Amino acid sequence: MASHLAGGKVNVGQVQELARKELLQLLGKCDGSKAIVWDESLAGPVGLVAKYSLLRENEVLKMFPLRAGHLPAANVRNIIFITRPQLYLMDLVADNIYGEERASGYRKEFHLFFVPRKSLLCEKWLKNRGVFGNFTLIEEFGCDLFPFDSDLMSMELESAFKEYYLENDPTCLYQVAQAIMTLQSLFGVIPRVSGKGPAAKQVWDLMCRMARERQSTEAPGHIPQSQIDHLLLLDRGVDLLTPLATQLTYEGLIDEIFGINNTTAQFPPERFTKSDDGATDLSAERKQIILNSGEELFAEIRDKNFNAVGPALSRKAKLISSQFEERHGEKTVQEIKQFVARLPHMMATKASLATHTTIAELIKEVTDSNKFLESLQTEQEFMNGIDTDKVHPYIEDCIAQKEPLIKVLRLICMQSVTNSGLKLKVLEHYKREIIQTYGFQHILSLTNLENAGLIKLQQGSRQYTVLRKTLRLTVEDGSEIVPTDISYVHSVYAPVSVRLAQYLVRPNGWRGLQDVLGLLPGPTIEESQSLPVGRGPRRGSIGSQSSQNDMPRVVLVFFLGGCTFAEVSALRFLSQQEDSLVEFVIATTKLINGNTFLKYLMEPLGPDIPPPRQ
Amino acid sequence: MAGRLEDEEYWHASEAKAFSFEDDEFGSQLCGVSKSGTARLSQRVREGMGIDSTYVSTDSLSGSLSRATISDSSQTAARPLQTLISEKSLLCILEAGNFHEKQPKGKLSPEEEVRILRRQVENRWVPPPVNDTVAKILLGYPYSLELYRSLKSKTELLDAAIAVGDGNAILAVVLFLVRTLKKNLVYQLLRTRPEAVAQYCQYLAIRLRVHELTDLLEMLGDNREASMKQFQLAVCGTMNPQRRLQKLQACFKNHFSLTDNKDRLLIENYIKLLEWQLSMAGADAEIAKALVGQPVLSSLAYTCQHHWSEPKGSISAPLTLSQQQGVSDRQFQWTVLTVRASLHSWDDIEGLFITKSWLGGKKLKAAVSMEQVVMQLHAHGAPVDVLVKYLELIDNVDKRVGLAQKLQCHKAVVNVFVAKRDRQALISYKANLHPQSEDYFYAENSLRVSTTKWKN
Repeated sequence: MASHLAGGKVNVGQVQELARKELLQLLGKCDGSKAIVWDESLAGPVGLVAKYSLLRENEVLKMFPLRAGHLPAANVRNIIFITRPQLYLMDLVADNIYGEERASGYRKEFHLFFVPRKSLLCEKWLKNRGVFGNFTLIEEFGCDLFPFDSDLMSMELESAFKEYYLENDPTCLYQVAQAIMTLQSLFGVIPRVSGKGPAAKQVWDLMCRMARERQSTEAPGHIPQSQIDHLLLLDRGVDLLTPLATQLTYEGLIDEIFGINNTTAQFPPERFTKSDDGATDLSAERKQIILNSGEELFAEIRDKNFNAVGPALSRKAKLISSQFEERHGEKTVQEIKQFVARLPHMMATKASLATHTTIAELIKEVTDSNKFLESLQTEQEFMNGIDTDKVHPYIEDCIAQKEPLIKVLRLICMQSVTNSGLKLKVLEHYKREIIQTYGFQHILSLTNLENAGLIKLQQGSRQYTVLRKTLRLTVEDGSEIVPTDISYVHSVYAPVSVRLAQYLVRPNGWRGLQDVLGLLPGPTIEESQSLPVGRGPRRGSIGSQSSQNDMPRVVLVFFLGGCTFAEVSALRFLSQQEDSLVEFVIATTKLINGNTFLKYLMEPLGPDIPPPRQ
Repeated sequence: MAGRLEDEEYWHASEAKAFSFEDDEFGSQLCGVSKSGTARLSQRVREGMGIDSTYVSTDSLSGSLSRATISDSSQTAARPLQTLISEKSLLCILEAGNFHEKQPKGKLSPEEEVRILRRQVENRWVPPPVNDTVAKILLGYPYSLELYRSLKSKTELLDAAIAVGDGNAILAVVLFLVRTLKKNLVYQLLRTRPEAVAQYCQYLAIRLRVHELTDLLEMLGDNREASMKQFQLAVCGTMNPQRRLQKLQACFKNHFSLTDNKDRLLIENYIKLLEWQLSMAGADAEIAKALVGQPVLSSLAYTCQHHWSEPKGSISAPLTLSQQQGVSDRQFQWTVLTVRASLHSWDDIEGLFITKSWLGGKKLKAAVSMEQVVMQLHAHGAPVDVLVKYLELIDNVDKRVGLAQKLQCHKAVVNVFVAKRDRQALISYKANLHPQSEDYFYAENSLRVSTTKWKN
């Protein structure tokens, strides 16, 4: 169990353990040496569950990415494909099998593990391609949640929002409900459930149904005590603004600029000194850095506003150098011994200090650029409700300068949300400019954004204006370095989603918030689940409110449709407040930022590229 | 498929008289036909039971068997066997042989035999509860949907799958419905169930079954989605520009021709653009090859580069294209500026922004801000006097000075000070200039001009 997972009140390491056991059990079904062919979107997440060394102990000799054409030669008995149930992946699998069948050499056995569930369409597809019969085993690796950190889990379903809001496909919600059931089987039934939005309602309904079914099939008794007190289901459709806003926390900016996948980010290597650590892959063109709370310094600065990162780094640097200076003083043998004992830790801190100083420099180059600042300024104007109702000159400029389309769309979507819909004339102007500049095929993406509600026409009511006031969404107290409010994660703007969580854990809960909740889309859920006898919260003898004061409550916030690092930071900030009686654990369908969020909603683009997507 | 429902009704309706029907027609004939193992056994057993001929003839109907047994309860010969083996198991054994019967029975027409066999299956298996079947689909166990025969049971099955919320299960049921129900019934069911529609649409889209897809969407009243799907296929599915144009034209005719369609104009413009691009590709083949498929503004840039001097109204003239596509003044000027500046045709740019009225006066008609014009000109290496000309057109004097200083256009700065009659500022500015440079002399001359009435 990885150490960075075990720190919290709820031991996320158990999730990892469960998934690992299942994977090893599946691997055990295939006798003899194995090669695994990974769907590339899974190799990373599964790496969080089982390291390569562990797989090697289980006779996995080779690992390949799933690509078209032939598999590289491997002298193994079993070839195991581990993939998401996607049709285009099935084509690749079929290609690979054709290739292997044609190749000479002794026969290999093929296996296919779907993550997390089999799919009828995929199996049909394989039958059509005539390879279905080649598989010895077709199994499910039911890993719904991948452990990212001690308070963070992700399902890594990147198109969940698109599937639900654009394609009307509720499958991802079914998976969410299953993931929650898994969590409940590990950490006990969650007594209270709140939620907002249509997806939240659907997940809750599914949970009830599954609970009923399990009750009838499973023998009671092995349900653990409740370790999670409250579940908050947040539909991304309730808060579309937050993912669009540029994140200004350290981790958020790393994600915006370099992209974080499965807790790993890649940086241009030339800026990192070679002595950083010996583990760098020499062949890699990019420098890979794993970012999780296992690294003390990173845990300290990840949630800070970027403006506070510089001072924090320099403080750390001073501390380290003073520690190193100590060795010059006169020492007894005892003291020297202590110093030497501390040395490895100090060296590690020094190395991570060097790494993060470099990353911070790289980020600063971007955040100091005019492009970044102008764009941020426009965003903040929108959030404050300034100039949202007319064609914005900065957006026009971006189009004229042929800035990346996604940047333009991100700003237009923001304007649409903050203006509670665009005027017809404004929208048509933007549309025409985009199509004329970037091409007619973008009609499709624009239509998608309209269908998903990210761009819409104004319809009388000004929800955003009301929300901004009542939920205090914009706070300009300039307290980025020593924050006093969650708004520090975007410097001005406090995420709606996190505000909802913040209100929920107050003594009054959402009771005073009915008007606001009415402005947000979809139903509100406030339910409770009955606990099996004797399985109540482990604290206090009677579950009265007052007896819980000494122990912080654990609230699981589940984002349906993705959440950003800034939101994670804001929730952590709330947990860390001195008077906080709450500890948040976060689960999401995927960690997103504005660019990745919109990217999945756009149709595959380029003037003459056929649609590769499903 | 169409006849199936009627069949069903027929069988429901005819259940009561089926008994006597078989009884009369071919009850006794069964005995004359050679039988395979179990069937023979069944016959012997029955004979042993001493049941009358009516009974033997109905060996295919469980319902009638039980009825017969009850009515014949006085016959003691049957008892011992029934105490040894349950009626149900017995029946299974007895029935098993009949399925292997390959020989067509004497006077039995194939249709009649099919009916009999179908009835056997029907009566023997009542469909399991829908939730059990859906659970089986979810868990990946083998399942069969064939037993759900009535419209009601099919509807229940579909609703159960939707309630579970798993796309996979929904699709499995929808495909079954499509296979076994009339089209209008399927549509009727789908109309109120968007989740099922979504799954089925995806399925059809993946298989490129376009007509069925658009039929479905239009049937459900989702015209926009239908037309967009068609558009997507026309654009993304067709590489060849001529083909794409044809498809777009057809798509436009079929789906976008209504005047209230809000995407109509866009599609119309796309068709016009493709036509225009193809005609250009015909005219100057080599350079225009890369043109096809480009956005409007790139095409406009192309005409600005290669057909700048074309007369007004000519098809390849920039203005023609711009008007056809409704390019905004701002975008038009910006594109022309960028292209002509890159070609260092500074005079063309003047014509773009400055019109001479027929009284000889000059008028500025710029939709782009002059600061941006100057920046863009500078980026393309425009000479200083060109820059100064446009700097003079920036109304905000402070901005003008700022930009001029940034771009090292000292003359423009000097001009501002002269206009402001600010001698002190000019003197101090001159001090920063390179002595003996052209700008230096220009500043010095400006100071010397006697007509200027300095304010300081």
